Amino acid sequence: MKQSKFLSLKEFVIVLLLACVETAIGLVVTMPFAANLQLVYFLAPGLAGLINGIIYVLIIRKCPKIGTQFLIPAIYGLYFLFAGSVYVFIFFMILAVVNELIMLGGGYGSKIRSAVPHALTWMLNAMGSTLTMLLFRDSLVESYVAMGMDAASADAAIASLEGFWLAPQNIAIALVAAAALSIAGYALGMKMLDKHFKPAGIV
Amino acid sequence: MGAEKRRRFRPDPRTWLLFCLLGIAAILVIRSEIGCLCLFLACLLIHLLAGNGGKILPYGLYYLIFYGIGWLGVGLMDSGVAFSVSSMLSSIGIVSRKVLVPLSFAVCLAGEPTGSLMAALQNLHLPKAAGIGTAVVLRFFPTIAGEYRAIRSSQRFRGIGVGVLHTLTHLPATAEYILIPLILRTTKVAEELSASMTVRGVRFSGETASYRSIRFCWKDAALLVLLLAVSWTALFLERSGVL
Amino acid sequence: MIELKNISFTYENSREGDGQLRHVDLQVERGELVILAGRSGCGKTTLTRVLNGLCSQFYPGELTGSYLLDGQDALKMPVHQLGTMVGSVFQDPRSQFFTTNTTDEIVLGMENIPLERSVMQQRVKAVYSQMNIQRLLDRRIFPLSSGEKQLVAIASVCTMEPKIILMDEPSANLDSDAMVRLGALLYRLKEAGRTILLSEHRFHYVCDSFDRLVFMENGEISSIYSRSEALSLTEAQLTAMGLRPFQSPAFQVGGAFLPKPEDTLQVSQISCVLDGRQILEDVTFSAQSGRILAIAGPNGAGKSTLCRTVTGLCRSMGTVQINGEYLKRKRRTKQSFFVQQDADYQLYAPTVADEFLIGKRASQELRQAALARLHEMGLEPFADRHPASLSGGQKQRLLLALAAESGRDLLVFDEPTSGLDGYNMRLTVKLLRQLASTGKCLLLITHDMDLIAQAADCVLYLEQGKTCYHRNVLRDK
Repeated sequence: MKQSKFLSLKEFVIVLLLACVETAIGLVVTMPFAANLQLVYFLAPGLAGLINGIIYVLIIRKCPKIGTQFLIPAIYGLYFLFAGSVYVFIFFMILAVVNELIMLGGGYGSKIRSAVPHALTWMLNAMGSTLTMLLFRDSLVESYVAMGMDAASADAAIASLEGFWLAPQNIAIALVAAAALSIAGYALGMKMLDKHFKPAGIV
Repeated sequence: MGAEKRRRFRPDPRTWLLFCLLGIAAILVIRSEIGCLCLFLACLLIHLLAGNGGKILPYGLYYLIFYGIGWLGVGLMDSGVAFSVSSMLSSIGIVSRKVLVPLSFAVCLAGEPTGSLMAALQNLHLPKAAGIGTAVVLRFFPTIAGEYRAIRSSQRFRGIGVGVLHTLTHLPATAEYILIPLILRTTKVAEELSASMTVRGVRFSGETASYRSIRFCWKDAALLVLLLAVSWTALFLERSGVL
Repeated sequence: MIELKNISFTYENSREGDGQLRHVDLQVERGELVILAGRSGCGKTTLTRVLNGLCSQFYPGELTGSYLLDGQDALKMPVHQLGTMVGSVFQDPRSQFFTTNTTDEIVLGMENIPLERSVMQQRVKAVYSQMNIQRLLDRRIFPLSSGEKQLVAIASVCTMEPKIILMDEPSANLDSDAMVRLGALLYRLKEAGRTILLSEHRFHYVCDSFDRLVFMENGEISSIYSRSEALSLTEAQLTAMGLRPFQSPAFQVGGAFLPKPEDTLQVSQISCVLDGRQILEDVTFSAQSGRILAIAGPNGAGKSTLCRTVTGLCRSMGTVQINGEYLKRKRRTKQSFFVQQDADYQLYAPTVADEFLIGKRASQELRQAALARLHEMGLEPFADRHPASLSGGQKQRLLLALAAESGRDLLVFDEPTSGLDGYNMRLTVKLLRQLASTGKCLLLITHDMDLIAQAADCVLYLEQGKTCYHRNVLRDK
């Protein structure tokens, strides 16, 4: 039977459901670290990428078609949209298109190229908090003041917060950590493919 | 017919979608505490008028809890306690309170019958895949927690992840033993669900009809005007320095 | 109506020929109710998938032969078009619904035909009244019981008014009452002129209405029995064929069960409230080592919650003693082993043999013990297979082996024979009895009357969270 280049209904549902699980894991993994700036920035996105690498590898092995790469960041981005972070949503939608373009023309045949969209997704996730913070910067200042801080201290607090999120070395650490852990997740996924998914007969 | 007319008002799914988008825009532009409070109260009033009175108390409680977290964060910041913790707490407390507005509308949108949602998306001329995708996500997402709980409860009898210490000391193995059955089960559900959809004619192409009729009536418009008016007033007062 | 000639199907990437079809010839007339029977993996499900077009349009593979439906070449029809003529109900009611609302689910097929709204309204009304399910109108699907979900799935198919209805083990998750109701519904559908093909292991509920029984082995139809021929098959013949009996098993319960202080398990005044609803009310019972207690009752009676409470998974009022000691929740979990209904949640290792090493320090002795246990359960040839690649019956036996190897005194099994054919059901019964004979105390949550009749020593019957009776099983033989 002639195989379509685009997702069939069955593949569409598989990708959607597994992308939902990826999103849920992305959110759950962040929770224990939510109260610490450094951990949220440097560790949580990469950790999500590490665990989700297993799901990602299964998705691209089961459904190596046009549409797969779009759906994964799109579902994650939708969560940000309904949580008010329009910028992050827009960036995830752009990434969704970029990821599809990366995989066009035989991307699924290359192990290295296949890892790139996964790494990019969780690198963008690492920037999600920064973008959200920038979006609500003025609200934070006003709330600080309303909650009893004086205007100068509030400005100073936001400035140091911004300083942390936007420091080039911190951005670099966050991106490198997310990329490294995501790629490790991808490698782990390849291992799980041979250990579980192939012997289980689902790929 | 009379009974039909007397039936309780239920907003059109498109109204909830517009509320969501309006809410997202409003929390971005309204920055003051009082302005946000007004927006939140308007949101509660809309839920009350839309017949979701039962949701007011929980949302009110969430608002207070997040206010408390924000207040604690700001207090700690003032007292010089670890900046990395206090800044996160304050951000979570402040941003989450704002997010409650669009998120509460999104929850109502997600709670709409699937048929109404699909009909709404069809009326908005969105591709059929968007409707199918929305339905599948809404049907599956609430079950993830149940699947996870089922796996965890079974693992207790096998000595996997028993207690926090055991889980932490065997983290990679525990994660593998949770993740693998979760993925296998999800894949199986996806295949069975798509087979069941396929034999009932669900497909990306072809025409569909809607069993449910959806109607955007004057009450929908009035509620939208209410949210718009509150947002606009709060923004105006804020910009003019009153709030 | 249906004419299959020399149909063969091989799944892409299939393993060892499981579920494949070989040279199937079958004719089914309008208004017939035909049972497809045979051991698990004999090809029943694949045959239903060929009939509804899923093989090979959804499950890729090689399909040869001819399939005529009302004189038309069904192999050339797209699956959605075939779906309007051949309605399908699947085994697991949890995974087959697409929407979150009963009415939306019921009209889904009609929306996709598509039909006029007024026609849909008429059909919905007619089906609700025909199936007497008005109570299910416009409800959220998640909280419904398995039986109710299965009724919604059937209603969804009926509104499409297909000429043929295919059902793949629809009774697997149903309690006795729901099965009887399903049997009555199938009879009414047959009377209304529908052709029904039922792939099933349990036949009691269609005993009075089926016309023919198609017996399959290794992907082939090995014999077709008329109703009278099928009903005259002896127990020995049915056992040899791996089928379950046609008639409800002959057993009675009687004589109050008398608790003794030395009973392994003593449960006293258990009450449990979940989500504001009282699930269990003042349940008291005991169970002895070396004996099997079946916990029965309709869906939603609180059977699983009771066992979750006993094994410490669920908080409750009341006390639980195991081996004479009052135990808190965590210790109850450590001293019992609960095999839940869905095997998918309970197998984690990359191979069957490795399942025995999970949560333990691997050693040569442990591995030897595992292999010995697998040998005992007839699973030794599968020791290096991935657990997820096993059949339903094999997974159940593996879980039984793991429970036996756990060394715990209290073993609880939730529906251990759900979806099992006669061969695997009898094998499970034998293994359960062997386990009991080693001094273990076994609790079985089950709707399966065949299992109760053959394995249980006593029955605790629950209804609406309360004990109806706790009696010994009296057997004819």
